Amino acid sequence: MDQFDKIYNDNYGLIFKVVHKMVPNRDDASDLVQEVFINLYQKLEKAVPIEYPRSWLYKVTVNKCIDFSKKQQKYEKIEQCTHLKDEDNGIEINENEAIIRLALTKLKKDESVLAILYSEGLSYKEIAEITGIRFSSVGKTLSRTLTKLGIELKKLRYDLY
Amino acid sequence: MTCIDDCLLQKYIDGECTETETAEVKQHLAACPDCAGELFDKALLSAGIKGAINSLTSEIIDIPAFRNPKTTLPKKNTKLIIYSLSAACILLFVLFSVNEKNISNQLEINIVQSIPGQVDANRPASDQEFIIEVYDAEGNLSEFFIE
Repeated sequence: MDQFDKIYNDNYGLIFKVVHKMVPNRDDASDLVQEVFINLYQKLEKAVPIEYPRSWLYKVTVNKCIDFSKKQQKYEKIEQCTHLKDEDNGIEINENEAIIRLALTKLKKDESVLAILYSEGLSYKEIAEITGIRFSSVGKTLSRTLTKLGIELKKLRYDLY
Repeated sequence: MTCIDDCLLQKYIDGECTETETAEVKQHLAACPDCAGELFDKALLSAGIKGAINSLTSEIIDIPAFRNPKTTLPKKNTKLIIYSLSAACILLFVLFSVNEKNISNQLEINIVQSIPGQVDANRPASDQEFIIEVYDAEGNLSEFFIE
């Protein structure tokens, strides 16, 4: 499966970053990324045609992360304090990280996904393909989402500039 | 003169405008300090949010070896172990029911179940050998091999 190996090596980092932005725990994030690539492996094994593997990976990733966070509801814990420890790994989550994650939870799920994909530097066309937002509406939705997120961060006294 | 809407400003910041739109925005910005100020604020906000979200994850990521799903133990192998053990229990029950008269005088019987060698979790249970050893009161050993 040379095709799979190439896609895996080229995209693992990109997908991991998106997942880790949505899922704070690094081990959970790694497991989710593996699940995404197992899905891809199985599709390629069955010779299912995937026209744009990167967009496909992002789409599956976003759906898996949404399902995961619905189950875990871990963000509720973040709301209760601003200085946390990731008990599973003993890694200290700093105050800024907690604030940013909390601000993202204040948005609707599709809005936080949009902000995260935007932070990855994806084009409007790719964002439209992944999220299902109409291409012509991406700019408007994005502008509204960034303004909303900016307000939430300001409320939490996060210094953006 | 109509001011630029948020959508078009955002597209301009992100380099998503068509050539015509870009020309229109540039022309308008040169003549409208309000929109120029708005553009400045929006560009700062966009860059700030990108930076904030990107700080949630590290830039350096080790790529682990891909775990091929075929190398993991399928669920049906676990079922096979359960079926094998159930079959062993039924076999013993039948065996002792048939020979009930022969063993009625025995004081005790010991049943030892063992697995020769090490169990390989990655191989199906059907490929591995299970032994059930039965000792009667006189110490005679009967072995039952289950494959």
